[in-house]
Amino acid sequence: MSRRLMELPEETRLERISALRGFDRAIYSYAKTLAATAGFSIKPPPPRKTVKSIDLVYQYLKSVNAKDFESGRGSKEIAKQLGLSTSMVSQCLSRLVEKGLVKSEQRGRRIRYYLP
Amino acid sequence: MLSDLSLEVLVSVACRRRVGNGVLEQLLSDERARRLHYYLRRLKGRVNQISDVIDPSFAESKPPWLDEAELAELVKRLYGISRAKLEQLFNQLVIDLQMVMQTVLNVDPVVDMETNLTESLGKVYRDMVTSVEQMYSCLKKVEASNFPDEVLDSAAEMRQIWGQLKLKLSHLIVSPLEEVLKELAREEALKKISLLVYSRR
Repeated sequence: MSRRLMELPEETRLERISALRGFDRAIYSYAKTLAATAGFSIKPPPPRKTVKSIDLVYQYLKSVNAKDFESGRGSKEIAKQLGLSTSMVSQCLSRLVEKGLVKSEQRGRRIRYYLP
Repeated sequence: MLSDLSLEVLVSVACRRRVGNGVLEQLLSDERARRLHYYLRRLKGRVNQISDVIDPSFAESKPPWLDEAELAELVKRLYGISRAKLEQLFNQLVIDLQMVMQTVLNVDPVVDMETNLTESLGKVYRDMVTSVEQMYSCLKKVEASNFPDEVLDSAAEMRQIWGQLKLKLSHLIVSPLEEVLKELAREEALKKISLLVYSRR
């Protein structure tokens, strides 16, 4: 069938294209667009930047220049400032302490966190 | 059948507002268009099913703190449980894609000849089948490996391939063809509106 169409003169082919109706015409426009995206290389949208809570906590301690017990901060205070839950902040802090990025010191009932 | 639709619904279609699938189906007079609409819905549903298995959402908002080995074990178990289901879904995805393509290719030969439709769709199809095969091999790697880093790497690769495939399915097949069908339905709605308006005179 295609070969027979190929043999048709240009004018007749154009006539047939313009005579397309409904579904055929719609698919014709789709096929044109598809052919235009020849490589089919579609770039995915850039990944959304997400800030991890642990980074937030670390950056907060850095920003307030917490270097010793006096300038250090408690977990409740950090949670309040960052709008995170206390348990989340405590988890982050214990991980930071584990990694040696943050120091913790207890005096009485108060535990303060600061940068080494 | 068309008389079931109110003027308000027809105007919504004509104004390209969101309408239900039932309305669209009623406005597609061509059998091939109706079939395509059905297969596209099936394909979309299948994509969502696979996404749910590959990237399940956690019930807890906060992910538990897990180390690499624990996470790898969790991933291995997850894909181990859902492997059979995933394989079945991949097979069905390929079938759904074939059905969509068959319907699209069922057009006047002049369309194919002028646009190389078969070639373009063939390329899309091969591309997608290759992605599915790559995901199969990632799944096997996850299952076979005992090294946490290998397991996590293969799982991440599978999710990445699936992300790309989903994007291609959406951009090259589902979205443009849905638009095509919506435009067809709109034309029909406009015809219907004019019939209704002139018949009242």
